[in-house]
Amino acid sequence: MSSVETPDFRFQELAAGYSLGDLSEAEWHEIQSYDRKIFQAMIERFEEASARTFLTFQNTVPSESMPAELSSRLQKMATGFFAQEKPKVVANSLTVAPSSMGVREISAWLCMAASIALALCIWLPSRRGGIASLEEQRATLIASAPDILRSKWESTAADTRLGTEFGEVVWSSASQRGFMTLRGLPTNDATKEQYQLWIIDPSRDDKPVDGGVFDITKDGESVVAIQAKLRVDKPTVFAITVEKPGGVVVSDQKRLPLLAKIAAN
Amino acid sequence: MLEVDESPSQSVGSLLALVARREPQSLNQCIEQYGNLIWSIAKRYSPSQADAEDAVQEIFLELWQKADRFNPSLSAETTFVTMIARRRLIDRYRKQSRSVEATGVESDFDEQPDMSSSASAELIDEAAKATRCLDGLVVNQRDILRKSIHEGKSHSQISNELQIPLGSVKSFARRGLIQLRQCMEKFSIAGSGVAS
Repeated sequence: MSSVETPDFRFQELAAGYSLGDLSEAEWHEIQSYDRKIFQAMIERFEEASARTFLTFQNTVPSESMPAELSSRLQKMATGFFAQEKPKVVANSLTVAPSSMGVREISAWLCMAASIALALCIWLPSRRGGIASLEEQRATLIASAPDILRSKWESTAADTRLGTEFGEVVWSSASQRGFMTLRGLPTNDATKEQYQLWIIDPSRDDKPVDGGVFDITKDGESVVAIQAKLRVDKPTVFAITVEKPGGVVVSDQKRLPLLAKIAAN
Repeated sequence: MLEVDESPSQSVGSLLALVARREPQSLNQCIEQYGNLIWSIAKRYSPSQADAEDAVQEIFLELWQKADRFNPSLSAETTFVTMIARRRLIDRYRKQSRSVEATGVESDFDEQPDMSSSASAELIDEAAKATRCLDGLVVNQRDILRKSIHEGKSHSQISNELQIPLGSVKSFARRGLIQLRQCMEKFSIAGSGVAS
């Protein structure tokens, strides 16, 4: 194999790395220097080659059946899909800036476009009487928002009787929307206590932002929409506390079952 | 050498075209047709069962939203579905904490093998074409690409498993994929991009 590092080979190497998901931070910066359309086209050729390679290896192992519960969840998701009439989302997963525009300008445009598209996603269904479920709204946000942040919940207690997987939080600062997926959190009696979400955003100040009060009414998985009372731009921690019914303005954080930390970029 | 049946594929027709035309039953057919394949991909690229299940939901949503972009003259439908799934999974874990290593969910290979569906037949045909190209790689490259692309392992995991320096794993994987792409395009089995 030739080891000649021509610019063309480097271009291909970066596209291959992108397709394999192994680009370093420095390489992410490096790909910004290429023409976006040309680089995107090259990536797609590698993605197609990777897909064919996956299928080749897949052909050598027995196929595996999807869990029945997941299948019924998908069927439920399918039921309302056409009714939603989703608008096309213009956001692109690749953040390579065209040579004529700066990265910040592109990001701003993508964020704005995604915000508009997301707003339409939420607005259109309600106009047509078909309201998307929280699961669908969450999936739409994840699929559409270019700035999506996600982090797993971690228990603050050493006691692992509740399990070790608690779900995750997803948040888009551009659209100021987010969702919590929660597993293993005990159901609460809303007349005695409620859960409350707090969001720590050091770019604002050191006071946590109230993310809304909510209840866990069933065992298993719950999806809860985040209701941030103030703008959140750079969240670093999401924390769930147990408070009196209706929530509190300032939490003493005596009962803080779950935390999710956002990894620094 | 991978042995693959080269019998002609039974075309599944364009199920995604039905989705794009908003045929009422098409979404459930899509789940039935591609659910197991997408699940297989998600399991390998996800650190837990719960993550894999979340990912499958995201992938289907994206697949339905992008169904109108599928062009049967450029690629087989199974390839398109796999592209969408892999892209979503790589993007998903790229955005998540990078400290999390995708270790894959425990496989349950006791489950009934099911290679009889029309999607599997198409899969076999796709694989037969690509096998020629894979056979042209050196053993190390093929092993690394299998672990990376099929098993969803990170390059540091592969480096540990194969006792090969991380930089070499990265280099082998990228160069192997470059060689594969060139070979596949030479045999005209990989067209231009189809799933942007």
